[in-house]
Amino acid sequence: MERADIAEVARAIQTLGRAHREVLGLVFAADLTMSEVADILEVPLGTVKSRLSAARTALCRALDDEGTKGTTR
Amino acid sequence: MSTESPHHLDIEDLLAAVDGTLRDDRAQGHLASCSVCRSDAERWRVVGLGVRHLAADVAPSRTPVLEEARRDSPGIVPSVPPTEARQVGRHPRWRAIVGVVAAALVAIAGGWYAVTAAARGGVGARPAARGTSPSVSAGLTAVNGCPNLAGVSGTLEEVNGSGLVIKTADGQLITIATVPSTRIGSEDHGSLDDINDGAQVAVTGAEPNGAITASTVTVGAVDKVKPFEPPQPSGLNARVTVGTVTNVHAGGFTVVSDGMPRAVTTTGSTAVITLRTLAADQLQIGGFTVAVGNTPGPAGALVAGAVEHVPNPISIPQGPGSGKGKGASCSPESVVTALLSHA
Repeated sequence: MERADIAEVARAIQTLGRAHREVLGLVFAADLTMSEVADILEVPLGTVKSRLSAARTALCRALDDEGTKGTTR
Repeated sequence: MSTESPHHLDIEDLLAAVDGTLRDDRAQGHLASCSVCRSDAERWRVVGLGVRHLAADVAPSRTPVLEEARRDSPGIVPSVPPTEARQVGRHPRWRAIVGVVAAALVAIAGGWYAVTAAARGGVGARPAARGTSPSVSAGLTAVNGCPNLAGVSGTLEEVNGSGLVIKTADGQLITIATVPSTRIGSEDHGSLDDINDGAQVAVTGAEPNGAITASTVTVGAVDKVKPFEPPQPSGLNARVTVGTVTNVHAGGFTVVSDGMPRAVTTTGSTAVITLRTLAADQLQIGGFTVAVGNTPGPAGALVAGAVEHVPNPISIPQGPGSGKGKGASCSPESVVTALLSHA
């Protein structure tokens, strides 16, 4: 992921599921604290953290998939 | 630092490290010596850049009006970098409040349409009453009592992916960013034929003798209306009842609210408003639009919690409870007042 182009990362984010995009958007675009996100989504703080982690894992996977496609073309 | 993992930083510390706002000495010391955590922080930095890149695509530039707003109202529009703002305790209720705003708008608009129509001889006539929320700029309006909320209303000029541009009555172009959680919808004038068995409705009307005489019936996604009863002009003893329609007949229907059936009488002057949920690309260019959301994010755009097409420029009455005193608290009412103060 660290070597990915930011535009690639942005494209990969768009392929994520709604829950993942939502939590990423609230934290990084709306610039809310995780406690605020928990309040908004009406979930425990731990759930926000786990969704964030899951979102990043999914993002890494999406980038890997994209990279694999690129190398097999 | 995490109590669960004494050897590595938890996600909050990692994000703070990315922002450059990690204050804890132990955490800083750990980060300096731990390549695993530095690598983890770098991954989060990339994720954040990706998200902000998307936001930048939506809102490519920080609009002058928002910069002006920051200068003029530093307490309302954050002048500190967003990364620092993250550390400031923000109002935790803002999004929950925004969630009810779209429907609350309808409740207010509907009730006010009826009042306005009676006063001016036409539904949708624009009333003279104005909101009292402070204006943070020529186009963006702060929400009284909600330090992190702002709203805008005007004509939809452009839809670009998830980004919107609204032109206010005084000609300012305001960029709006929507996120997946943004509630987007429209309200339109309907007719009594839109009220069918099984429909979800919010009925606004006086209830002098146990039966509701409906001034407005809102049909559609009205589930969020219930927590909020809009301000009513003095002397108008109206309230909002939310429920499911049964037993539609000439001259009325029954609304079942909290398991209780309530008789509703409709007349020729009952206004019907229909609500629809939309995607951003279904919004109509040129339509009168209101949006409310978090004050500008990293990309400079208002990050919308709710965007709503409404059929006409509207304003709200300054009824009991909507004055400055009560308006100091953050509420759906103060949000709506701010949204409509430029209408």
